Order: sequence, then C-alpha cells, then structure tokens
Amino acid sequence: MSGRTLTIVLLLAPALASAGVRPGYGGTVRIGVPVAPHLAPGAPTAADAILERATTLPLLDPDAAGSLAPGALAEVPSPEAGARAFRLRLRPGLVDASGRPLGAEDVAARLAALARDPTSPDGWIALPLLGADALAAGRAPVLAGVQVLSPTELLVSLAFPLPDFPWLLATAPAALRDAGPFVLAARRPGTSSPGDPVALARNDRTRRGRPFADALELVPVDPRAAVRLLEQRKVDLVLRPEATGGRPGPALLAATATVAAVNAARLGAGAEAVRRALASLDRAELARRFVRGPAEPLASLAALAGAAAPPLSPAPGWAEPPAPARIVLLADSSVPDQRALAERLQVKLFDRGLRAQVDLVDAARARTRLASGDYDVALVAVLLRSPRPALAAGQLAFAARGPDAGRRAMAALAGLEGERAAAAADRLARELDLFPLVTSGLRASLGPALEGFAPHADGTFDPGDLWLVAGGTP
Amino acid sequence: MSLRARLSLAFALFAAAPLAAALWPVSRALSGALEAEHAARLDGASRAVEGELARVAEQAAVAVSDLAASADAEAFAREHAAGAAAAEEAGRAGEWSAARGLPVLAVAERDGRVVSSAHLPGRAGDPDPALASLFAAAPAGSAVPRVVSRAGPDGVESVLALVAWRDLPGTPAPALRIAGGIPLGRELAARLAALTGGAVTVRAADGAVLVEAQAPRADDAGPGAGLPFPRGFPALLGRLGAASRTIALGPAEAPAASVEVAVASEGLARARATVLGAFLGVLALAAFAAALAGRLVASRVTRPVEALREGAARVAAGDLGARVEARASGELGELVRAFNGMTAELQQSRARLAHAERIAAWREVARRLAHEIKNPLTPIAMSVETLRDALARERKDFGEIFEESTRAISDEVRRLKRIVDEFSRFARLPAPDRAAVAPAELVAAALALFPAPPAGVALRREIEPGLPQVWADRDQALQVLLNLLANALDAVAGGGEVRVRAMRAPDGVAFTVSDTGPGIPPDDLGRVFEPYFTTKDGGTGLGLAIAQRIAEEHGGTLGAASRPGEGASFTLVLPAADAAGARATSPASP
Repeated sequence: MSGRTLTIVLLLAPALASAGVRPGYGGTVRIGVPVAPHLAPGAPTAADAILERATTLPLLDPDAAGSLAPGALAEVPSPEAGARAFRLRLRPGLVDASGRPLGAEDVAARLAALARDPTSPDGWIALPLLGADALAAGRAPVLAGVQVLSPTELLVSLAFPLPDFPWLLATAPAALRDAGPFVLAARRPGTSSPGDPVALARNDRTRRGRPFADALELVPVDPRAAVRLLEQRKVDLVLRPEATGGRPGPALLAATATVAAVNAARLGAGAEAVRRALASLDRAELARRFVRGPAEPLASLAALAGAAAPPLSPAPGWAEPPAPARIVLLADSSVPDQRALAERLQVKLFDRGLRAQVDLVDAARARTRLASGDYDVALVAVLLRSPRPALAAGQLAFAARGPDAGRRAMAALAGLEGERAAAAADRLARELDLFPLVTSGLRASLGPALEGFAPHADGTFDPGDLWLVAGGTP
Repeated sequence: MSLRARLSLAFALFAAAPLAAALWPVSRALSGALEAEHAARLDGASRAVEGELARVAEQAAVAVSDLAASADAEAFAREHAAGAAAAEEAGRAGEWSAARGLPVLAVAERDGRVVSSAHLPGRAGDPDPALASLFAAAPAGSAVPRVVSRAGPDGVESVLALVAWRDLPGTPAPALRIAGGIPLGRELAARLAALTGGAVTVRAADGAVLVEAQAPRADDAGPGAGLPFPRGFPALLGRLGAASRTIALGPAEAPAASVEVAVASEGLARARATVLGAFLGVLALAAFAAALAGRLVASRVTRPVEALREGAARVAAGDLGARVEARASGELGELVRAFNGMTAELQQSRARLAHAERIAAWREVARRLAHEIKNPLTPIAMSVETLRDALARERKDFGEIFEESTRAISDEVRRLKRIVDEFSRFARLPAPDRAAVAPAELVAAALALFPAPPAGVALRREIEPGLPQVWADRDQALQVLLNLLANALDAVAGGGEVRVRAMRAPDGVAFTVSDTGPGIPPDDLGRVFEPYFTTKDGGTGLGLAIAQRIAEEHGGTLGAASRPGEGASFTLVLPAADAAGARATSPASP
C-alpha cells in the first residue's frame, strides 16, 4: 500500500468504520457520460475533462475548500516581481506511465505547446506568459517567459501581473501528460468509433501511487439507459444534466459557461437593437427553462458562483434603435442545450421585432465562423477550467474574441475577487460586446458500490480516488 | 385603285362579311360554354380543398385526443404537478411532435402560458395569446384554424394550422392543456394544389400571404397544345370567368384565414383560342379565295375596258390605226365595235384632211412660185424688148445696152434658179442619216466657213467641257447652224457680236447662236419659223422653216428668243447620242 493510500485510509477510517465499509482495490469503475470523449483536439466536453484528469498529473491540485495544494509541483509557487514571475519547483522522482522521468523541461514544453497554437481551445492558458504572442505569431523561436533553471526548477515570467497564475497551473491542460492515475488502454486501430466507450487502465507509477480501481471506463449513456444501467450496476457513476437515479451526488456546477457575442461590425446600426433585446433577457428564466441539469444565470464574465444575475440594463441614453432586417444566430450543435438557448433568444428577439435565423452548426464550423465574423449573434460556450474570476473571464473572452481579448480580460481582472471582480467583468463585457447568459453543470448519480467521489473547487474530481465496495464484486 | 382591284376587294368583302358577322356570336357562345366548364372545375377544386382540410382537421383532433389520453401525457401532468424541472418539461413536446404527427404541438397552462412547445420551443415560460384564445373560443377536441408562430429556417414565421386542444389529466382539476395541430404549410399547400391541379394561396385574416403553392404545370397537355399561336393570344381573348374561389376558415363573422383556390384555365383558354383562331383562319382563307375569284371574274370584265383605254391612249398619241381586238359581248362588245368604227372614221377623215391640206399647200406653193417667178420675168422681158428695140433702131450704144440687158437677164435667171433650188430643197429634204457627232466639232465646222467676219463684228464661241456627243445627221445639223450664223451676221452687219455656245441640256446638247443686233419685233417673233415668212429683201422665208424641220426630224427643238434692241438668240437642241441611240435601238421604241 502506498503512503498516499495509507493516508486516505487513515483519514477516512472513522467514517468508513462507522459505515462498515473499507476502501478496497480492484474492479472497473464505469462512468456514464452524455457523450464519449473526443480523443482529438477540439472543444473539450465534460467527458474530455474527466479523461484529462484521469490521464494527467496536475501541477497543482485545487481542493474542495477552494485552496491550491501541491501536485506535481513541490509547493504552491509564490508571486515574485509584483506577480510578474513565478518560480516552479517540481517534486523529484516524477515519471510518466512508461517510466520516463518528468521534469522542468516537460513543464516548459507543455507551456510552449499551448502558446504555440493560439487557435486551440486551451490556448488561453498561455496568454499571460511573456513572449507567448511572439511565439504564436512566429516572431520568436522559443517561449521567452519560461526559463528552465534546473531539472526540477523553472522560472515563469508573465507579460502582466497575474496573482492568479498558480490557478492556471492547476488546470488540466497545463498538467503533465500520461502521468495521471490512469492511462488509455491500448486499442487496435480501426476497432473503435467515436461513440464507443473509452477504457483506461491503472497507472501505478503516478505520483500518488496505485489508484483504487484497476480500470476506468467512460461510457456514453442517455438518461433512460443511465437509470437502468445504474440499477443493474453496469455503471457506477453517471454524470448527466438530469438526475438518473442511484444516490445523488454533488452537482458539478463549474462546468460550461455560455455567453452571447454581438458582431457589431456586421450589424452596424442594428447592433443597438440586438443589444437591447439581449439585455432584456431574464437569465434566471433562461437557466431554469432552457438548460437541463444544474444551471444558474451567469452573472458576469467573472463567473462568480452564487452571484446574483439581474436582467442586464440597457446603457443610459439608448434611443429606440433601428432593427436589422434579419439576424443570423450562430450556435454550436455539439454543446448541450445550446439549441434551446438559441431558440429562446430567437423568440425574445422576435418579440422585439427582430427576425433571427438560428444557424446550428458543428463545433469546428462554429469556431471557424466565429473567428471569421460570419454571424450576427453567436452563442459561445466554454468548459470553464478555473473558478478564478480573471481566468474565467480570460477563457471566455479568448473563446469569444480571440487572444488579445483574453489577455486583456485577464489583465483587467487580475487578482480581483467578489464585487470588484464583478464590476470589472461588467465593464469588460460591455467593451467586448459580450452578454453573459448561463452556466451549467452536470449532476452526479452514484451507484451503490461507488465511493470516493469528491469534487474539487474547479468542478473536477480525481478518478484515482474512486473505489468500489468489495472491489466491485456484488 | 383600278377597277380590277376594286372588284377583287368587293368580292373579298362580300365573302368575309358573313363569316365576320358570325364570329362574335360564335365567340360568345364558345366563351360561355368554356366559362361554365371552368366554373365547374373551380367548384370541384374548392370541394376537394374543403374536404381535405376537414380530413386534416379530423386527423389533428384525433391525434391530440390520443396524445392527451396517453400514458406519456398522464406522466407528464403528474411530474408537472410534482414540480418537475422546467427545462426537462420544455423539451417534451418536441419528443412527442414527430411521433404523433403533430408539427404544431404545445403543452400550456390553462391561461395559455407555454410549458413546452414543439413548434416554437423558445416560447416556453411565456404566455401565448394564440393558445389562450384557442382555449377560450374553441371547444375541446375539435380542430379549428389558427394562425400560430413557429420557428422556421429563416426565423419565427406565421403559419396557419388546424389546431385542437384537450385537457391533460390532473387532480383535482386539469392544470395543463395540450394543443396540437397540422400546419397548412408548404407541404400541405402543395398537396392541396396537386389535388386541385391549380394553385392554392393561404392568407391570414389581414390578407397577408402565409403560403402559396402551384400544381406542376402540364404545358404540353390539353387541347390546343402545340398550336402555333402566340403566347399572348389566349390572354388577349380575356379570362374565363373568376380566376379563383375563396374558402373562409373559421367563424363566418371573423375568419381566421382564407384559402384561395385557383384552377388553371390555360387549357380551356387555349381551346377557345384554337377554335377562334381556326375561325379567323377560315375567314382569311375565304376572303383570299373570294378576292382571287373576284380577280378572275374582274379580268374578264375589265380586259376589253383595259384594251379600250390603251386604244384611246394610242389615238390620243396620234395613232389613228389603233384597233381594239378584245373579245367582248353585250354592252362592252358594242363599245369595242363603236371604238373601232370611230377610229376608222377618224383615220379616213384624217386622210381626207391631209389630201385637202396637200392641195392647199400645192396651191400655196404654186402661188408663191408664180409670185416669185413672175417678178424676175418682168425685168427679163423688158431687157429682151430693150435689146430688140435697140437692134431694130441700130442704136450706136447697142453694145452698152446689150451688156446691161444681158447682165440684168442673167441676174434674174440666177435669182430664178436660186428660188427653184430653195423650193426644191424644202420639198425634198432627205431623211437624216444620224450618227454620233461631237458638238465642239460641229461648232468648229460651222465657224470654219466664216474665217473672217465682217469688219466690226466679233465672233465668239463657248463650248462647255465634257459635252456628250449628239445623235445627228452632221450635214443637216451643220446646215442649221450655218443658217443661224448667217442670220446672226446679217443682224450685226453694222457692227456687234455674235456668240456661238454649246452647253448641256436635259437629254441632249443646246447650241445657241445669239447676236447683239436690233432683235426681232414681238409680232414677228412668233412667225419666224413659218415657211415663206421673211423680213429680208430677196429672202425666200424658207431657211428657218427648213432649220426647224431638220431639228424636229432629229427629235430636237429649235426656238427663238428676242427683245427689241437687245438682239436675238436661236437655240437648237439635239439629243445626246447615248439616249437617242438607246431609244433608236430599243425594241419598244416606236
């Protein structure tokens, strides 16, 4: 038994003893998800986030209390030079699933890879790094903001002060690849299709030692099948918008945030009428009726949990604006409930005399059209990676308006929290012509044999913590 | 217009008039029959549309009743009462819609607030006035027409649907109602249009077009297809009665919408056009045939008349030998015979007149000859008597007397000879032997005979360059010019100027000889070309008469112009060689 396992067992022993249950090893934990992971570059889904968390080793670990704990890093880095620099020290002896040692070079390479591709949905993570824009534009061969000082130490310099930077290091895209509690099981080429379950095997070389379960499976299930599968113990955990039976688990609220982006350049004078219609939306009604599962109005780009989200008020001095002839409302068909949100917006625009055509397209096409400005109003949904206001705003601004907007959002909200963050986010939303709408998550439905499900503050959980009573043996 | 043309036109009109008079009643009768047929088709199409709409309404009502009574609906009502998640409920109507064949489907509270909508999902949570009015006005279980809003590919659009509603089960009282229907959209409109074979237009109560559809056109089918009429010809004949029939949907006092049914009438219109076109064709053919027949008949009538007209024209031109050879009978025959008799009589009269004129001419010649010869004879006789008397008296100055008398006799004999020559030439002027002669050469030849004009007289010539050759007997033309020149020189014997000009004239060349002499008195100017008219001592008065005769025999003219004190000018016009030669060689020329 590894030290990690021993620690967990000792911590949980009183509770488990009182329940008459002891953590056990073995078995396959099957997780039902709305759609199978992409296993390819693209907008990440909830299943992708679980897969990432299962196969990667985060540099820092957000805990349930909302604090950061050391992960692959030996300590939470402290800001230097006015939060413009951070010194990262890795734990010694880290290896990936194949036994290859992992060090500062791997962290630097990962950050450089993120910076090199600004069109990637995860490209926002490299935005604050000094020289990231030059590397992305091909003006610099290396990432200037990352210096490897030793095999276990590196110095990260930022383009602007960002006290929240350690939270960036806690996100799954920044984590070390192939060093998580599980690894993708080998597949024979051509034997699977995108909708098939994804199987993972345990990785005993991960930092925290052998995970409880021997294997992990991510199974796409629909709601009715999920109920049956849970009852039949064919899945142990279902993460879907709706409750699907079993034991209800905590909701994973910090999941997907949706904003509406107005293309003022194309709408011209008609943009004011569209803004006015969007500002009048009842976001609470939107979250309640048009988003399945746990959903809340998105109060601001800062995505502050629990913040009140009253209807947006029109800017003072707005006169009755001219209405555009027809509006193209762009939505991503791969994002759950985006069609319903688009249809609601269509109706509310119609009620204000604006004729809107919903263009529901796949994720790749939606990104292309968003980047090229081929829309009048676009719904942009992102899987939020961090609960920090600056990072949430940066991620949303990056997804909707590109790298410059993302960098600007992070700088504007750097280190802010609470009402100050909300106020700054409001100003930012007006400047970027973005209308925060809703945030939604998934509900967890637990089978009778599953234990160890403990979501972190960023809405993720460590699959390595999951275990089955009696190893899953009925 | 010729008589023949008039007769042809009269025949054509005579043939076409009855047909044309029949065209109007035939057209009226035909249009009436076809309008009745068109109205019957419209009635049939309207009944078919009404029947199909009733069937669709029944289908919608049954589907809604079935759904309201289903276990799914009961579970939905139960979950709703238990506080089901609104977002879960919102999508339920969409799941039922396709399975139940109800594109318009909504679950709403009793006041019309939408819980779930398939046709306008974004309306969930909002009150829908259309549903509220449906629940208030329409009885449960029967489909009525309603204009509803639905999400279309281009945004929210209005569509007419046949909608029914039912309560969902609930305790203690139903809290939810379900409304479903079948929209009268493009698909159904197209089906209705195909059913009628025409066009269907669905209009809202305010007249706005909600949807319209047209049955596939069968341009190649139907009577009259393929006939070579212009496309606009059937339209030119007007429409076949009412173009469409309107079916009001909903209460008669306030219809929710209307359906316009229009049946294609092109086939009937083309049939009418075919018949009337054929009629017009027959009319045209009859008129043409009548005109042709009229022309044939008219030619038999007008041929003697035409011959008479030509004969009269020849007579007018002096051909008294003209006779009309056309065969004719009746009045026309008598007219032809009278014409021929008249021309024969005229010819005989002309011969008698000519004979009388010749006798008179000979008398005049004899008188003139006697007068002219008589004058020289007296001096001759006196000279002979003087010689005989001087010889008898053996006068010493006999020699002188002899010399004087014989000279006088000789002079008078020469005078007699000249008179005889003039008369002889006037009487025996030969026919001209014409050839192409250059005007310049003619003038030069004439002036060569006057190498030294008298003192004080200037002789000038003006020849226009590029003159055509004249068609003339060179000697005779030269004789005319010499005569004119001699007269002009006589006129300016005391001094002056004689000018000879040759210039272009219509169809020929004009030779003008002018002088600056005293001119010709107006009274004499009109007589200068009369034979035996002379103002000169010893003149025979035949020179200018001969000259004018030569000019006329050449096809030309000779004219005189003069003002007293300003000289005189004589102009000889001779035809150009080209024109005159062409006339002379043309077979049509007389």
